[in-house]
Amino acid sequence: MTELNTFGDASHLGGKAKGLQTALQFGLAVPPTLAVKLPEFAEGQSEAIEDWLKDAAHSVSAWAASKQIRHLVIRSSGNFEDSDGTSFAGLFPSRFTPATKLAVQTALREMLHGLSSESLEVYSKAKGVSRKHGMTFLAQPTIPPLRAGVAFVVARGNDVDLTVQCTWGLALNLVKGLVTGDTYDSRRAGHSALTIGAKSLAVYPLTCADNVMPGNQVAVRITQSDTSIRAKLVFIDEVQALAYVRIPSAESEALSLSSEILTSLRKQLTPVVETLEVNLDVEWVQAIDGLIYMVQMRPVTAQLAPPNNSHVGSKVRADVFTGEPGAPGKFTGPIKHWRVNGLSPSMADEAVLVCGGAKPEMLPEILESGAVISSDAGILSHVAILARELEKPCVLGASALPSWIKDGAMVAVDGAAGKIVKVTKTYSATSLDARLDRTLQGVRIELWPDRLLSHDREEEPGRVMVVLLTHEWLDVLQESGSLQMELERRIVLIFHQYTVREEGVELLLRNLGFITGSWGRWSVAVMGISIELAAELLDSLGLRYDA
Amino acid sequence: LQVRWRDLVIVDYEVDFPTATSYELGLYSSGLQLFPQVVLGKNFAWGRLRRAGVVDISVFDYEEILDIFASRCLTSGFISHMSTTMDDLIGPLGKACDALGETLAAGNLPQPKMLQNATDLVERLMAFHVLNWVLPIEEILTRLRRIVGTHAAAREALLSLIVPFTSSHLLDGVGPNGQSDNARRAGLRGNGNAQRLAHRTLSIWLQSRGDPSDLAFLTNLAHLGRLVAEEEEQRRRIQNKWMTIASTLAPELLHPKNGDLDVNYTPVAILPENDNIWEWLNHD
Repeated sequence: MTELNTFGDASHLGGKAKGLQTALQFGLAVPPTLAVKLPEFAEGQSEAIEDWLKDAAHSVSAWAASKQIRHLVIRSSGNFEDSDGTSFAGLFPSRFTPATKLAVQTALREMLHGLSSESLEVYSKAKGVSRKHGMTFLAQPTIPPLRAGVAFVVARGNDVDLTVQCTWGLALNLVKGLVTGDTYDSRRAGHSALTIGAKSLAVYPLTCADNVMPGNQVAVRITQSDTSIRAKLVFIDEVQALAYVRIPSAESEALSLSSEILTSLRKQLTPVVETLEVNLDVEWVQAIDGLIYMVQMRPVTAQLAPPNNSHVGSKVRADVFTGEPGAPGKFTGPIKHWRVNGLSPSMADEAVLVCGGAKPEMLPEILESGAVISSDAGILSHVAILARELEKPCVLGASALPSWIKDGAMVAVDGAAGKIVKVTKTYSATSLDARLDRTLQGVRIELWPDRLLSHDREEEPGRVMVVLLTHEWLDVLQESGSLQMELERRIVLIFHQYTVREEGVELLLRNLGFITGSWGRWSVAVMGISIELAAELLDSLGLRYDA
Repeated sequence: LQVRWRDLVIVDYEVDFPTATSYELGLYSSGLQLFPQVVLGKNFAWGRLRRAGVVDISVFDYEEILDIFASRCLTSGFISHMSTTMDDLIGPLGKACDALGETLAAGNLPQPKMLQNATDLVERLMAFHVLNWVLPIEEILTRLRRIVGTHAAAREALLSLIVPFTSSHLLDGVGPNGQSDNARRAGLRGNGNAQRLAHRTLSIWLQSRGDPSDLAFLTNLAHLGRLVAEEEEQRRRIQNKWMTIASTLAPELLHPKNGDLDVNYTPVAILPENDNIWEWLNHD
C-alpha cells in the first residue's frame, strides 16, 4: 500500500498512478490516493486471492477511516493502460463504493473479475499489448461535486488547443455518454466554441442513504453559494452508493462551464503539456469548496476529430443524418445494430455498427466493424476514444436516428463531418419482375426471406435455398466474397426490392410471380423462378447453373 | 418509470409525464392500484400510494401480479374477459361524458351522482393503462423466435401485431362523421388498420408451419396485441374527453404537479455538510 505523493516513485504503480503523480508534481490538486498493488496469482489460487481481497479491503477502509473518508472511488492502474496509443478507455470502469470494509472488498473483487473479461482480452490482442502483469488499484475519496468533466489539452505551436466537456455532479454520465454536457472547443471560432448540451441527469455520491428514497425531492448544490436547488431523486445505486438526480430543466439547460473553470484548466494543464511534451486527456471534478481536482490524467491516445461547425442533429436532406464527429475517416457498408446477447442479425463483418452508450461487451463488434455510429454524446466519450484509436470512422450523438438507418441498409459514414448518408444503388439487371416468365418445374426450393448468411442453418444435400435480398446487398456480397461462398453452399440468391418484413408474404410472392404451394410446412414449393435470372447471376460470377 | 429499490418497486409517473397535472397523475396511480381488481379479479389494491403519481409496491406483490397476468394473458378466455371488461367501461363512460358535456354546455351543474358514476368508471378504465408494461414481452419473443427464426424477426412480428383496429388517437382531429381530418390526411381510410393487421397476422401464421400449438399461440397473440393497442388508443381518447370535462368543472385541476414545490416539505441535502462528512477536503 502506498499513498501517492509528490516525491515518490509511481512508475511501478501503473499508468493512472503515474499520471496522478505527475499532476501532483506540477502542483495540481489531486485527492488523496492510496495505491494497492495486486500480487501475481497463479491459476487456481482462489484462497490466496480471497485472503488478499480481505487484507486489501481492510487496509483501504482503515486508510479511509483515518482520513474521515466515507465514500470512495476505486480505479485500475495497469502498466499496460493509459499509455500512448492504448487507453483501455471504458474497459476498466471506475467503481464507486462506500468506504466500509465489506463494500470495498466487493468492489475490489468485481474489478479483479473484470481483469479476465473477454472484452479486455479482445482489446489487448487488437492493440498487441500484454495485460497480465502489473495491476494496481487506486482508492480515492469521491469528491463531493459541483460539476465535473473531461478535458483534452493538445499542443499547437506555442499554444495549446483546449477541449472541455462538463456536466453537473460527477462525470460518470458524461463519459458513459448518457448526457451530452456542455462543450468548449478552442479550435472553433467565437461563440461557436461553446455549446450547451442537456444535463438532465446528475450523479452524486450518496452518504445519506437512510434518509432518502427514489421519488423524493432532494436538495443539490450547483454553485459555491449555499443556495441549493430542488431536484428529484430518480434512482439509487445502493451498491456503489450513487444517487441519480433529475435536474430541473432550467438548470439542465443552463451553462455548467464557466470562464473561471476554462481559465483554470488551461492555466494548470498547459505547463504539463509544454514541459513533458505530451498531450493530455484529463478527468476533473470541481468540489463543493470550489477547488478543481484532477482525478485521472493520461496521455492522449489518439487525435481528436477536427471540429465541425455545422449544427449537430440537423438534417440537411432526408437521406443524410448529421451527428457529431467522433473519429475521422470514411466507410461505406451495411448497418448493423448492436444488441444485447448477440441477437443482432447475422451479417458480414465490416458493417457500420450502431450502438448506444459504450459498454465493454460491445468491443468485439466495434473491432469487427468498419465504422461506428453511437448514441454516445461528446467527442471525449469512451466509444469515440476507442474508435479513434482503432482508426474507425465514428459518428456520435445519434440517439434519434432516422428510420432508414436500419439493419442491412447501406450507408456511407463520414466520421470527420459527422455525417451518415443513405446509399442507394441499383443492380444493373432492372425490372426483375419482367424476367420472371419461366419456371423451374419440379425444383423444390426453400424460401428464406430477409436472410443473408445461411451457415447457421442445417444444410440438406440437393436442396436449393432462395434468399431474398435487396439490391444493395449484391455489391456488399461480391466485395466480401460472401456471394461466392453462398453459391458454393447451393444457395440461389434472388435480389429483389421487396422483403417479407416490409410488405408481407402475399405482396412479395405476387411481385415475384411465384405460385405458392402448400403452406403447411416450412419448405415452400415455389414455381416461377426465372431461369434467365438465375443464369445471369451465376454467369456474372463465372458459375454455371445446371437445372 | 419503475425503480427497484430495496424490497420495493417504485412506480413513478411524475418522470413519465413531466407536464401532467396532479389530477392526471392521480388517475394513473389509482388506476395502477386498481389493476389487480379490475383486470385480474383480485380483491386487493396494488401497492401503497405515496402521493399522486408515485406508488410503492413490494417486490413480492409486484412480481406475483405480473406472474398471474403472464399465466393468463395468452389464453383466449382471459383475452375475451379483458375485452368485455374494457368495452363495459368505455361504452358507459363515453355516454356519461357526453351527458356531462351536454349538462355543462346548458350552463347547469351536473348531479353529484352523475359525477361519481363517471369518476368511478374513469378510475377503473385507467387500470387498463398497466397493460402497456405488464406484457411478458421476453417470454412472447422467445416463443415467437422459435417460430419465425430470429429474435429480430420475432420482435418485428410482435410489433406488427400490436396495432389497433382504429386509427391512432394522435391522428385525431376535429372532423365530421366520426373520421378525423388528421386520419384522412394520413391516408387512412375506413378499416385500413384492420386490413393491415389481417395481412400481418396472416403472414405470421404462414410461418407457423401449420403447428396447431403455434397457431393457437399466434391467434391469441394477435388478439392480445390488438387489445393492448386498442386500449391505448380508446383509453387515451376517453381520458382526454374526461379531462376536458373535469377541468371545466374544476379548473384548478389543470395546475401542473410535477416540479411544484411543496413548501412544507424540506428536501434532504444530497451532499450534506454536517457531521464533518467532507472533512478530508480540508486535509493537505
